[in-house]
Amino acid sequence: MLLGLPAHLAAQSTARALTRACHGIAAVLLVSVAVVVAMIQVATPSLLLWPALLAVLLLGLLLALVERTRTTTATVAYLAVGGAALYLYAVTLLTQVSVVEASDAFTLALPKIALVMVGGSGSRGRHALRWAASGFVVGELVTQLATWQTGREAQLDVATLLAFALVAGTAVHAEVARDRVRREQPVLHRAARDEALSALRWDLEQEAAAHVHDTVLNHLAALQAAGPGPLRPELAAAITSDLDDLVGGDWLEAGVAGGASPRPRPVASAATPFAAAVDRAVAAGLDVRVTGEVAVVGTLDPVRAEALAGAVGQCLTNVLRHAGTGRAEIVAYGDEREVTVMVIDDGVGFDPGAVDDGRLGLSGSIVGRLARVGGQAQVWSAPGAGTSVVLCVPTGPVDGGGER
Amino acid sequence: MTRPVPAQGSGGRSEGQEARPAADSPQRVDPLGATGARPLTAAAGASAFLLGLVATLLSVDELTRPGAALGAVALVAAAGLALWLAASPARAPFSTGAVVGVVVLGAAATAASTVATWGANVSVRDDWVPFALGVLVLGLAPYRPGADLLRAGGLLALVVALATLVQAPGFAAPVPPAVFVVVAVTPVLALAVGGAVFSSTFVALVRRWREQAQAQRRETTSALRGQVARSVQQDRVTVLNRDVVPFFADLLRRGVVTADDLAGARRAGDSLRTTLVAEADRTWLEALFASPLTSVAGEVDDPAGAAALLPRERRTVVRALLVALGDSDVVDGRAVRVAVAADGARVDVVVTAPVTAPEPLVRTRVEPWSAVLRVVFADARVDPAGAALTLRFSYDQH
Repeated sequence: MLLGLPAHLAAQSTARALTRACHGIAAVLLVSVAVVVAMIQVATPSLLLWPALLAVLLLGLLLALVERTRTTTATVAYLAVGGAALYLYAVTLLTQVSVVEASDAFTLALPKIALVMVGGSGSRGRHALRWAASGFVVGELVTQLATWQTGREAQLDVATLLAFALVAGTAVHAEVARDRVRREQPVLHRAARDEALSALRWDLEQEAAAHVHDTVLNHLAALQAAGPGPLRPELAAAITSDLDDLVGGDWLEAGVAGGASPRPRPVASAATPFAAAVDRAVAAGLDVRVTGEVAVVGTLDPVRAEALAGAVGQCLTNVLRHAGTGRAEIVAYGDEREVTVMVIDDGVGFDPGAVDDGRLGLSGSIVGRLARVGGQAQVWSAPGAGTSVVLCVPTGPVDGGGER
Repeated sequence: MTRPVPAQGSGGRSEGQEARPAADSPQRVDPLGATGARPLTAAAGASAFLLGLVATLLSVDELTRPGAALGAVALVAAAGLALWLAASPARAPFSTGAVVGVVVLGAAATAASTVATWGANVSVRDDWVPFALGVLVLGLAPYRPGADLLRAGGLLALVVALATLVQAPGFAAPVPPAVFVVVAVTPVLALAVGGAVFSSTFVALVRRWREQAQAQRRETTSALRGQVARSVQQDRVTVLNRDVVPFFADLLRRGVVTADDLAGARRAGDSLRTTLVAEADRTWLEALFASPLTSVAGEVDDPAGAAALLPRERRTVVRALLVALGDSDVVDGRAVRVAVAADGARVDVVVTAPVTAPEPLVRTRVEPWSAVLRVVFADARVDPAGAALTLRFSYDQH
């Protein structure tokens, strides 16, 4: 998702990232200065440089403390104790190393800049600015004092000044710029929410369409198939029950909540939705043979079990209506990731590329229904060669939708 | 109107799919924020150049080849310019080529500066190039992954180290040559590490927030599920009450099916099927334009329904862009035209909207969108010139 952060979080995150960046810079400077001092010590063993190394080590430990705790106490300790360590360091170098003859010497500037890079405990730009200014003042005061005491030359330290300008400039910019471009951000976040809602609505609309297809359109088709004459009592009962339920009940909500079957069926007494779907087809006159590991179907969660049963039911309805055969075979198998059910008939078959009339049943009641729970359906058929429909449903948690 | 049925549903597509965990940069996770950082990038480029200029003018008597010194300043200026240009929202996301360009120009500046003071450079301390290079690498931080900054900084530090070693015999200070190298590479390394830490910290924070926001959105969505379900059901019941309920009620009352009823059943079935097919075929894009909740309106030309093939992730951005166009005061949001054309494996999208404001204003308003769009669609082009604002982008069908 490429939405970026909302304005208030962006300012906080930028400030936090800047603080860590400052600590990163300070760490490199301290390592660098320790390496330089150690190399001079090795080259000239007679010099007494261990107090300077100790001071750098102390500064490093305090820096780690500030980074870890991000508290005002740690920051104050870094500046106060770090200032004292810097004094020890400066006096050691100014008295021991002949090249270090002024307050702006490179080896003196590095730990001073490390003090400027304190970053601070605040999440706002102006806090960072305040802490960096404190670090700058402490560093300069301490080194000037050490320079004066050791009788060396006081100089304006341009490097430290520039480092301070860098931190100050970045902090001020982060504070000023935070609302400038973010005008557009709320639109993006609203769009993300709308997208989620729209996907939800689409799923529910498809669910509803599949439901209407399975009930009303099937009844209309049954009427046409039966021809003129008295209305069969079981068809009349099914129509009455479904209409009452469709117009009066909360069928969609009940269905999506994964609760009971959305509508009472005269034959819906079987233990699982899958068994109920098979029972209905058998009651309608189809000879159904079920083989394989039927028990795996029972391991699905209620939402997926309902979707799979709906898809199987529609496959069996298609066999009854279009295949020109009275027999169908169902094979079920599965593992810990997926449950697969095949519905096979040796009927007249069809050309899957040319289907249009039955397309709604295939796309809505079978393909779409499974897609909404993360599954998929594939149809193999050719005129005269029967039809196989493979339905796969994952067993993991239900996630996401399939909005077009 | 009928459309081909997709071979399989796109179920299970989650929001995290677009993420490229290895190469996320602050610009990729927060394009608008990167747009806001551009003045800082300009400042970084300008500082590097000014630093070089001032330092060169102050040490003019140390120069043995003033031409090379000017060359070094010019090369750093060019690197700063490349940085600034590549950071433009119209060129987002910041290209790898531009990073290479900055590194090569920086390395060349180091070489030129070494030549300029050859034989007369007594102190590594006042060499300005490492500082300028560090600032340039730092300028990459809002746009590139932390690892890139470390690589760029490391390479430039290597060049600086080599340049220092060849000059070491001339330095005055009585310390081992390795000390000069450490002194010289410290500014480059420190600023590169600082930039890298900024980049990776920012990306990590955005990722963490994103996960929280996603979880929150999922919760909100499931809380609204019941409400949406009732509304959808009501829509469906309205259609049923109009098309089939009177027919069935009449039939049940009479208990006999006549030839007229059979024709009626076919009519009702056809009508219902047509409605269901039309709804199943309607893409999110058409639904957005038809929605009374957004002000964007106009025409969607998408004969193949290819808008459905755009992954959810990127859909959010296009949706937001269209909603923003609908609310915009620089274009006519009621006359937006979206043409979606599937061509082989690609889908080309062209969005046009009549402009109602002067071009410079349109350009300013559209700039942040351009940046976001370019990060999501690598080939996105935004053209604010002329009577209509035109946005073009494409995506693969998969």
